[in-house]
Amino acid sequence: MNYKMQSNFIKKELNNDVHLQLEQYLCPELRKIFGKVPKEFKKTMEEIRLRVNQPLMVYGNNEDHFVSAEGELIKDREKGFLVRGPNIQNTLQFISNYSIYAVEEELKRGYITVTGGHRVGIVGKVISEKNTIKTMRDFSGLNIRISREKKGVANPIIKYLVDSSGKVYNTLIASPPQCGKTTLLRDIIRHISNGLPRVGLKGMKVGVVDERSEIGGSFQGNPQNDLGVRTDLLDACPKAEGMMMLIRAMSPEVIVTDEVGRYEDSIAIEEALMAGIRLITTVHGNSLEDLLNKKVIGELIKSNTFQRIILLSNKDDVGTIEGIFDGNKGNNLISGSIRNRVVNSYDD
Amino acid sequence: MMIKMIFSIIIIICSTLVGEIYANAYRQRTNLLSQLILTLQMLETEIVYASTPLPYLLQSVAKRSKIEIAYLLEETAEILLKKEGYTFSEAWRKGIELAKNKSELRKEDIELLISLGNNLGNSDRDNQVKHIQLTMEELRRNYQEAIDLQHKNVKLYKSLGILGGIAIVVILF
Repeated sequence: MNYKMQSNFIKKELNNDVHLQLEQYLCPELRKIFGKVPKEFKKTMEEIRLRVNQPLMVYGNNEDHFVSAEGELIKDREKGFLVRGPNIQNTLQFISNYSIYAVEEELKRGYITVTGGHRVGIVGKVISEKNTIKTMRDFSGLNIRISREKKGVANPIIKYLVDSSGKVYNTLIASPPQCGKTTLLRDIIRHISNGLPRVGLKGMKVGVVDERSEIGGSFQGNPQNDLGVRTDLLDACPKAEGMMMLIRAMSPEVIVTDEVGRYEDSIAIEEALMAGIRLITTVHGNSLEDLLNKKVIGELIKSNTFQRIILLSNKDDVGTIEGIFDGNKGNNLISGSIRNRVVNSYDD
Repeated sequence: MMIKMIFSIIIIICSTLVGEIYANAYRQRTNLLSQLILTLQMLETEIVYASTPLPYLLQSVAKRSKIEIAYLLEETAEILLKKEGYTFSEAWRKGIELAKNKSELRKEDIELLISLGNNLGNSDRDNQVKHIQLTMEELRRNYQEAIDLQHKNVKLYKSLGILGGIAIVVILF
């Protein structure tokens, strides 16, 4: 009884505090160090990297730092805290809830998603059998990617994505890695799903195929991020099959996936478009020209599938919106880039 | 005369009970070992077929285990769920420390449990099964030994109790 009360208390605290929530996944030694890392940095921290016999590193604000045993951020790697094998093993114990056997499927994919939607990438010795990966052991590195649900990042752009009938355009979000594609996508999903009368957007049924568990950040099948009230999420499902499953089973009005690129995907996309379903997806790419050269996506753009193409960069900040292009006419709908740094504004 | 009779009977009953207590310790150990093997079987099944993470697994198996074993499992699960930074083997060891005084398990049985705790949770399913089966195998051996001891000693302590009582009576009166 006593214990139950205590755990509820901890949970509430953690929900308010992303980095505290993360620290419970670190081994005690590292937990102590991160307790001393300046709070200011922790607010913008994006990655924690543990590599065996290498100094502890963190990444945030577009640069990386070594971390000393006293929790200071330094540039001198000699003085960084040296991560040892047991640090990684113990951390992994906490991440896997003390049960490596329970995360075997995740190990095969190379990452584990934990409560709060944070993703932990894992490297080590891979054991394969008959050309497929059987499992991984002798873990040598962890990359803890901090997921921040930034509600409101889509606020300035959502009005460009709504057509005259209150539905959403087929939209492609393109950017180099780590520019906030998925964060933006997540917020767009939330808006479409909940509806936003201010811009004339009706709430629509959204089907999400979340192959890499990044959009929903699902932990044991439950999305940890707010994706809106009309959203159905297929977690860890291959995109092409997932889209077909959703079309058949959940009658979505909008289908959302991450990182389209394979040939099968384009077949599923055609199927969806034929059924009158709107599509929102993302792709890696630096510019429109770059996108046109890509096989699957290039074809889709040339056939005018997408009415809106959003380009992101991290020029000013992560998630700067460089342009929103009309897919048919090719003109930019916004005059200058939108610097987009929203920290959890809950107004919509 | 009457008082003497009553005192004699009381003495004999008492010494019989003392003998019984000693004999019981043997019976309890065999009983506990066989239950422990059952519990490990449940653990194995759950790991193979359900892949439940250990804290929840221990809790659910505890509900179906004998009380002494359930105590160990629940204490360990509680420590794990607090997420205070103890690794599984540390939490398991703490659980054993708390539980061992309440049971009739011997040092060699406890050692087996501790070494199981060092391996539980930190490898894939196939490996877990191997570790659990190995421990079960050794527990079975301990169980056989315990049964032999029980057969030998239960009778011994029982008759020792009664005979000791009679002897005291004879000497006293």
